[in-house]
Amino acid sequence: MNNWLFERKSSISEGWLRRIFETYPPEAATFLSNQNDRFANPIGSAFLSAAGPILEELFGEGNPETVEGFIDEIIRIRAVQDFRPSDAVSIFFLLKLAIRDEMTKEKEGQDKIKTEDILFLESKIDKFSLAAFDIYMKCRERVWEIRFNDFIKRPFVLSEAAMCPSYLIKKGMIKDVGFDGEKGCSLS
Amino acid sequence: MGVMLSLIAVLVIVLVPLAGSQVSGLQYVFGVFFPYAGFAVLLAGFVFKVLNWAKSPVPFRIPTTAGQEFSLPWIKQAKLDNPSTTTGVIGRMAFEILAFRSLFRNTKAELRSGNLIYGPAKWLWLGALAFHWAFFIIAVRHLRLFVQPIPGWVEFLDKIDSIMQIGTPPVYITDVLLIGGVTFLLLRRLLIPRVRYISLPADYFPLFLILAIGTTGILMRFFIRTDIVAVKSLLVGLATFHPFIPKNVGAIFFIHATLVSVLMAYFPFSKLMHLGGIFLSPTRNLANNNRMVRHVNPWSYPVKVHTYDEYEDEFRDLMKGAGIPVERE
Amino acid sequence: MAKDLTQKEMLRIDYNPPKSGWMDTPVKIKPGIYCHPAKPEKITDVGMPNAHTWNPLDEDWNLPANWQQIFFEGMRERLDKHRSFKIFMDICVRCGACADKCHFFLGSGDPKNMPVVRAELLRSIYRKEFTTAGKILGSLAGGRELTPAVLKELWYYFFQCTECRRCSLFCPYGIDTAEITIIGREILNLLGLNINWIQEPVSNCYHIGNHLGLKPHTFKENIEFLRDDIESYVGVRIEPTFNRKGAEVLFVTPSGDVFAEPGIYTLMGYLMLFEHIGLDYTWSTYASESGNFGFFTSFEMAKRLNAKIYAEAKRLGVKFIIGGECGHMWRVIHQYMDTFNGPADFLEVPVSPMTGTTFENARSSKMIHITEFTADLIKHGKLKIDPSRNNHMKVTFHDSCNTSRAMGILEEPRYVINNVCKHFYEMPDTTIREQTFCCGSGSGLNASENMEIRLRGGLPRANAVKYVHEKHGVDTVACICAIDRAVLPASMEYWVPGVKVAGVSELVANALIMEGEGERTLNLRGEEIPVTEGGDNV
Repeated sequence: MNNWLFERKSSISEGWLRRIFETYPPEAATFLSNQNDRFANPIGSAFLSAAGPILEELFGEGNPETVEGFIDEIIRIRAVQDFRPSDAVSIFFLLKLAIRDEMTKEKEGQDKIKTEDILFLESKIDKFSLAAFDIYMKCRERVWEIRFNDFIKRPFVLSEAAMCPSYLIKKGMIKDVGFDGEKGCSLS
Repeated sequence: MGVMLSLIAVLVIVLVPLAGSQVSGLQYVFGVFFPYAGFAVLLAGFVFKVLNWAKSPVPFRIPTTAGQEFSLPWIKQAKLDNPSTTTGVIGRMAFEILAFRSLFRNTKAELRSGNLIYGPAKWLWLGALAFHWAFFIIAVRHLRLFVQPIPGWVEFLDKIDSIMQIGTPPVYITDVLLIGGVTFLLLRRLLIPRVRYISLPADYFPLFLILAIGTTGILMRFFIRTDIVAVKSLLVGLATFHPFIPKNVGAIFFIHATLVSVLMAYFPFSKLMHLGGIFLSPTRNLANNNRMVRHVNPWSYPVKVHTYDEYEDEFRDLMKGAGIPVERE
Repeated sequence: MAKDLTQKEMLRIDYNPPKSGWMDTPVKIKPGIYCHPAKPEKITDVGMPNAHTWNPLDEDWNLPANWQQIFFEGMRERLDKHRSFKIFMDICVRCGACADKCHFFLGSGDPKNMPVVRAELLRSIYRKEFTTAGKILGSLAGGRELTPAVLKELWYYFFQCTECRRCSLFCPYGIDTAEITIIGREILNLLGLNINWIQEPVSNCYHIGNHLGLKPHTFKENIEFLRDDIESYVGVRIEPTFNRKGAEVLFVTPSGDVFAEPGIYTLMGYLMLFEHIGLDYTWSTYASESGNFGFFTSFEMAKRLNAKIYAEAKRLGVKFIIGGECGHMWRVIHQYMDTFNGPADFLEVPVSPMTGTTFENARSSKMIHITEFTADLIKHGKLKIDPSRNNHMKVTFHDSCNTSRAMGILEEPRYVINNVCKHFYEMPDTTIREQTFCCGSGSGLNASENMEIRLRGGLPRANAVKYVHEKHGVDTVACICAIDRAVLPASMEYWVPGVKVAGVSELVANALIMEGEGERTLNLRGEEIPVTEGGDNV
């Protein structure tokens, strides 16, 4: 892999995290990126601890399965937060931007990297993106399984057919189960 | 927006006496009328506010318990953080009011090179404590200017405060702490996005006001000197209700006095009333002896309940069928 | 390099300026965050006002025409009734000490989940309507008009607060967001804006006796099923009694433990413990709920539901009451019951019949916590215990918000666990005891439809569990709260798979050597107890 970029790993990692944190409201973003305590800031510290190993692998072998656990750390959190699916899994696209930031920061950056290296790196990033998508889907399915299990564990509610969706729809208290472009498929 | 408005408001409060005190006759307004009015509003407003709070009862005993409760004899109680007696509550309140115990709790653990290190994140606590104590000592120290002869303990306080003996006249430690503290609290509001997010004009205004008070005070002592003897005779006059305006009192004094008057008048209508509120805060000033001593709710009223008799009437057959004893067959 | 898309162009997230302040940013209500509205008939049948059908996603919430007037009158009444509310509306300096203490903020990054903002949502209305400065200066004095959009925001965020009081611990003035949420919800209830997950249990509890709506025979049958399970796993036959007059003790516990896993194992634990020591006690089908969802509705409703416990104790002529493991139940029992429905002068100061210990701390309310009771039994050597049966477990303890910050029962459960389990590991200091993190689903927010906010709110707690899970191999979270038992499994399943949740009494019962028991190869869950060499492992 290209040495010039590899040497700038920690700087790239910083820029990458900054861009990820910028997907949160600014009031939260600084807190997430500045508070290093794992327990006082579970989101930020999870991202922080995962970024290094992921980049290491990306610049090395480039096999997302090796660092699946770390990608999972990030995606699992974003999967239940206030993001659209595309935004939740956007982290590796943000990494591309972070790498380009790094390349344009110094004039020599663009000269020292061969186009084929860049293309190869970007392909690897794409591979990581696809892995992130798989993990995202796994997490979302997990949420729905948990939600469903939770739902059927509540016999007292179902005993009256009270919270049965058809009852609620009839009563006008929920809308139809269906696809809504804005929110995705949801039982609202 | 809140920042600019507050800043402008304070600048206006500075400019008015600056210009006004040049006009003869108006000095009386800034040097006598405003201070009296401000003090009166402070006193009346403070008392009104506290009485108004006290008018609302405390229906439930709801202390926030911050440690082990009083329990079995062999279990060690956290007597200060979870007091069950009045003495304990007084101790808890003293720590809270004098040392900002709850803010001090802001600990955090940091993950440095893989090892967990518990370090304090106590900047807010330190800044707030420095600011409040400095403010209090400065206020007390000012007694020196209001009474004649000066009481020994005020002299002593003055001496301690200027113990560093830097410069002439010597710099007060509390002046440095006050300006430092206010600046810290202000910068925090401006620079930390989540604190900026929650800040209102009412948060910036008192900070600017106090900063202006501190600055004018320091200016008066070190840079724009004014006749201290004249100032003292004015203030003693105020304190003894024989107000008069001596000659040779500079505009800087009138600015300082106006700012303080505004602060006093603003105090009871603002969040600054936390000074009074803390004493009445039900999550702090009550003992956690709920199960030991019954707390009476003054507005308690009878409520409709589903009585056992109604219950048995509804379910008697089911109960009998299941072999559950009933009152009436 | 050629022109490229910026982050802003690529993602649809855009927080960049000009961004309006929070007061002017209208709330966007999203599915997965809120719970279904209360069914009108469940509001009406307990005599609460303004029941109507509405949908949180609709523009129009079908509010009564004079809803603002109802809101303001309700607010004024509560300002006059609660010094706490009045002071908390006045003295916040917005220092931000609470901002990063809320599990919902930590797990979501939503700035309106900072406790100070949650309170400011209501405070802004207070300033506008109840202070002179606010009336004249409006937004300059931090005031805000109560519009339908603002009402929706209040509803959305007051049902995103679990009343855990963690923020109140760090507030220099003791401002308690729980108190503000409680009163805020009470005002919303005047407009019929409750959630069904709270309202239906309230209605059930009022009419039938418990949140789950278990009728007397079903309640008894359920406990007898569990009794049968004990017989097959432990080999001991237990005969619990119901509504028995003349018993020494009335035992009440959350009905969740009668029905749902893993709470039922805790209930089996109670049955075995009482059998083991030969306690003369009775269950009640009338007071078959000690939890109190009424507390998440209004103080009045809390009092109405709570009344049954003393009434039943009086009817049955017991000496004192023991309460099971639960969080909000103990907030109500400890801080409110005596005031609500006391004085309990028909009862006696609790004295343990086995050890003779007088429970001085319950001198007036005459109700003690099962964990206090058990700790005292162990201390006096009244329990025959074989802790090695729990040797295969690595246990940590999750303090519930209410028992730690509204009571302070911290050492007792630890003492009990340490006596019945060999491998006990604490989570980091800043996440336990009085600083404990909420499970993420307390105060009636443990529905299924709001799973996403539950998981977000559960992250800080789960993250600390994950830490001890990775470091020490912890596989069991012990707790003394029925809500924890109901909701932590979901949170663990998502954040820390492989960690299960157990009530402290379940752990106790697994270790109890019962008289006449068979060979104990199964635990209370009917699972093989892993045999470890010499009965000892790791």
